[in-house]
Amino acid sequence: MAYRQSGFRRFGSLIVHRALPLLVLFLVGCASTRNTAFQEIDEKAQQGRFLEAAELVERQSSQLYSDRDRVLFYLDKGMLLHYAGDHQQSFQMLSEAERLIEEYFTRSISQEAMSLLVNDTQRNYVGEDFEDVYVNVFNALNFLSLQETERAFVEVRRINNKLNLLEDRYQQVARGVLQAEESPDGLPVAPGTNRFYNSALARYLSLVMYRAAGNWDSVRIDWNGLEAAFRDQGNLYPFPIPLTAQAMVPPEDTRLSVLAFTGRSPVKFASTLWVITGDDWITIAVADEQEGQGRVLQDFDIIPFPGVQSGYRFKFEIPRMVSRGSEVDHIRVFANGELLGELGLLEDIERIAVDTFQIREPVIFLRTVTRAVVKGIAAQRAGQVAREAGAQMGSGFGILLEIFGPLAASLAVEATEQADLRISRFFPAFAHVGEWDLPSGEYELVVEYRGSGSILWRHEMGTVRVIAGEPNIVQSVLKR
Amino acid sequence: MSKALRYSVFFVVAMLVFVTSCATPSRTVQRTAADTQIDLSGRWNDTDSRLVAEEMISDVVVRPWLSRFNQSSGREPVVIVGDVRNLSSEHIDTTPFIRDMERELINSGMVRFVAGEAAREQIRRERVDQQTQAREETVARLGAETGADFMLQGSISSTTDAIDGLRAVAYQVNMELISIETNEIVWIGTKEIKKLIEQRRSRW
Repeated sequence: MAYRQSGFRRFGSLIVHRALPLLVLFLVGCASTRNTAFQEIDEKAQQGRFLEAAELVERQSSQLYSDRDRVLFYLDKGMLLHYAGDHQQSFQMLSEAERLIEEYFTRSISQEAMSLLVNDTQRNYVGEDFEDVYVNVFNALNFLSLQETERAFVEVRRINNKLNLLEDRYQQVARGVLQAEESPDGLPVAPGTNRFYNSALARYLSLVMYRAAGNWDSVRIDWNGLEAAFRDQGNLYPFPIPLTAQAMVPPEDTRLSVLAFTGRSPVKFASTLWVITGDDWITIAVADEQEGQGRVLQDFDIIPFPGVQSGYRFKFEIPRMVSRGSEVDHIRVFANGELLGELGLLEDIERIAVDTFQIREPVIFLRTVTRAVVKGIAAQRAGQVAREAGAQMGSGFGILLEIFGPLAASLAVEATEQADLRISRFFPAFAHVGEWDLPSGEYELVVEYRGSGSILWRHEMGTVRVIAGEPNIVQSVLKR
Repeated sequence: MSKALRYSVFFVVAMLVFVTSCATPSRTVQRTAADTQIDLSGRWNDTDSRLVAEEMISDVVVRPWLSRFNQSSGREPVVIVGDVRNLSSEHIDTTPFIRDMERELINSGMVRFVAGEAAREQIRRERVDQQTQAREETVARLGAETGADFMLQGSISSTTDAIDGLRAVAYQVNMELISIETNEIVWIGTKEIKKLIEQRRSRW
């Protein structure tokens, strides 16, 4: 009996220490992530079926968003409803996101503690600065579509308040970086050194609104702000201003402004590294998440390492931001069948998101490594204690404890250590703009999206009335 | 399991229970008097609306325009409340403020008051309807409305000064009383409300 128990134990130990960790690794390596759950919704948005996508977000909200992700739920649904043309509901959603972002300025100490113990998703998603500003940009566009100019102005004023706050917070740092760049032996500004604090898109929207209202001082201030966004944030705006100072000049009759949003904002994918030790060997495995596939095992090595003890399992999972870009390379606007001109790039939202993430990356890395090491050591100790306790008991339960105790500790590490992949998914990647002086009247407008030499989509906007003294801003979206 | 380890496990579990229980939301509801001053978010609220309306009206009815009008016309002036534009950085529904102004004006007893634009349109439709549908002795006459002498209109604007966690918002309510016949501005009232809103950086 003692021999049988000892043989069973040896077999169990072999399973636990060699085969099961690898099996678990294999299973987890193939497991889906937060991104795979959004696949169907992403596809619908790409096809322009925004209302269906918004309905799916609502229907699957309990699976897609935890209580801590409420900002994301409102941002995602609000943006999809905006594209779908349900501007009133979109405003409700985006405003709720804005309210929560404001509320979450106060950090929860209990959540911070949990995030140190478990993972970064234990904290409320508080929203990025650019998300907070774009909430008001798209709400202003919501109200312009609803022809509620006074309420659109409220959003424009909120944008200006937020940009002022961001400028106060970050401009000093940015100026320091710029001076370093301008010095003869200065290093070039690396991405991630200059924070987003001024949005050309937001400034332009504000300019158009004040221009329609005839408030020329505010128009000039917004134009200066737009120029400053390009000048002082060269890493975020490495392209020419698509407008001229003509934007500050009153139109002879009317001016039509066309905004086109293309592509998909970036998402975060998980990069995972496992280090598992056995007696005199270590296993190193690397998995990278890929769009639509979840985690894909990239590398797997078992390396002899004399002197290493078994039972340690470290999992490091770090988010990396991946651009989803756009297929569009040219956008042309036609009025009554005649070409008005091409739109120019005004805001690279993708670049702003990536840059914002890069600033946080070192902190995320440090937190993850520290937490993973502590968890790995704690799990090894817990596993060892379970094994010893099981061995002392000697009963059937003892054997189970001896075999599955360490495994449970490993699984706990595996399940809890996750990268924080949360980010809003439905902002566009790029904003393009163009404006033309036209006699007031009605126009059949068409926005033509071209990519790789062919027409991707002709957005026939129907009859658009261009009226003197109105903002006359129209928008078009292609999420490709 | 060693004693120290047992204590450690117990400590970690107790901490987790404590930490998660601290994060549990709770909600209580308490009834309060309608005029109780409650400030939660720091945004424009019913108290601001009520206080501004009371102060504005108490100011407008003691200014010289009223006695001058009384002397020249021998009756109380008829006033209508026009638009109050929202020029602030908050989505303020100005309707309660307009209602507060109307209530204070009527209650002052020093001016007469006619219905605003939206209500007037509805009443006119009703009056026209009465001409064909109501008994003759009960029909309201056409063309017998009381015309307003003055229109009260204005705006709510705000300026915000903020740093992280601290926000100062100054609301300015400007109201003007304009003679409908002459476009003469007979009274201007301004009321400012300043709020300092501090938001904590952390909570349990």
